[in-house]
Amino acid sequence: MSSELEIIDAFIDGQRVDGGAIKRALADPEGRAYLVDAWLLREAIQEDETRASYAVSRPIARSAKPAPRWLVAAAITGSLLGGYATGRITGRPAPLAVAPPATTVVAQPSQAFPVPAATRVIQLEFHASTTTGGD
Amino acid sequence: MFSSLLFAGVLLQVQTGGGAVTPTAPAKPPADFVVLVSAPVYQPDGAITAETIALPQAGAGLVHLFARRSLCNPAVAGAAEPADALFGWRVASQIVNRTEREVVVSIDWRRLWDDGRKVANGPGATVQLTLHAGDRIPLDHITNSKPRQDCRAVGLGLEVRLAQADTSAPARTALLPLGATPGGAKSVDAELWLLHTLPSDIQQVVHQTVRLPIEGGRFAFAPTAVTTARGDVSVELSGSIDRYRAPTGDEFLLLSLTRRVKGAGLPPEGIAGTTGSVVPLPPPNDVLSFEMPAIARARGGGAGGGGARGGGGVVAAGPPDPARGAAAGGGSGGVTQSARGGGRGGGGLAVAGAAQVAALLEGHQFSLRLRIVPVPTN
Repeated sequence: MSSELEIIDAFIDGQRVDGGAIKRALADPEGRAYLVDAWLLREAIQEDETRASYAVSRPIARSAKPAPRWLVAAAITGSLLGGYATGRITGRPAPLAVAPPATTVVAQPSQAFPVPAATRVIQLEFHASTTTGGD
Repeated sequence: MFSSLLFAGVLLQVQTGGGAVTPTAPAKPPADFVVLVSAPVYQPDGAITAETIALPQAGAGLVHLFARRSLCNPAVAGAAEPADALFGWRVASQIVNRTEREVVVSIDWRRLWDDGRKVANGPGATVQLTLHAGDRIPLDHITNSKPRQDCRAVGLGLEVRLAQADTSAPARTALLPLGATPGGAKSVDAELWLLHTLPSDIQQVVHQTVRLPIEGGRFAFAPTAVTTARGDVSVELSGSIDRYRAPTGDEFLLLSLTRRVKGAGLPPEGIAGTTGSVVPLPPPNDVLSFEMPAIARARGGGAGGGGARGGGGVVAAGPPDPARGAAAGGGSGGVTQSARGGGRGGGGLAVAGAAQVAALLEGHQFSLRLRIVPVPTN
């Protein structure tokens, strides 16, 4: 690991670092990317420890050596792939939007049954089409 | 963080559907299919009384199908839950896709009432159905565990049907009064009962309500299965009600019907017949019964010959069918029957088809009852 990344690690850990050194480290795009990765990783570890609800509080463990960048990237990628695979296996198909009643439906307040008696009768007669398929 | 990323991954996968079909807007105007949800009551003797409601042609819909007082009183309601349901379901729908051959619809149904109690965890499911003309998909069935004197039904079902509306029925505007113009005064509802009386005198009834804006509306019934000596056939009835106003201000309805019979060796597209009638707008206490005997005649008898028959009106008033409980007061006003002589030739094939249909449906009586009611204000 380069000395620039170690400076960034020290900065994240709250150690006293040289201002000029950290500026130079962060001027490098690689350094900035490392800062973000390392910060996210640290945050995740803290979240997990908080959720564990330990009865005894303990200081946040700090590794003697910062995690290499490839390990951070691998962890993120692995998490995303694992989540995707889990979702594919266990996830139900996306439910279709069936809830919104955005339609006009006819209410039926009156009684449909028994069938009301006819008051008038009209005799109809079907006329076959000249083709079998219909008119 | 890892758990967050894991969750994000799961969410990503589920939201992309895992290969499921996502709803898409129909690329072309909807076909003539109508998705119907039906609540049929099955009687021990084979009689059926079914309440139906058509789902929206596109987009989402929400309806309730239920039974009041007993299993034998099916009814439907819109998005608002009915207050007097004994048994019933909530059905949410989403038309996913339409083609010329099929309709894909997502149905989310759940039984909400059971024996008068609102149930939180009743049976239900979300299903995606690919429906073809004539399909009948049962979703649920409630057995009548306590048959009573006034309701001996076997049970109440929940079904999805696909009906096909014919658009080819000719408009018989010549039957309208002179000077009549399209359009009625205000929206009304048309209650329609399709009655099928079997040769055994057992009756199957399907009811639906159709909103009629001032220009009118269309309707379609799910195919009716008819068992004949030559095999099973299906009878599909669809139609339209167009509204007109005469110069006097009186309103008239032009009822057009298409009947298509399929199966039993008939051509794959079936044999279609059309008819129609013009009636004055009936008051809400009037119930019109359009009787449709099986016997049909071909329009146009010969090579360019004159009408096979004239267009004389047939009017019958008063109690029409006492055997089916249709005692009623006499109606008023004349009703013109639709049949008119045609001038079209080449009817040989149609004559043969009509004869086939007449033979197949012999002994089966179909009629359509119509009641016009005001639009509910709730």
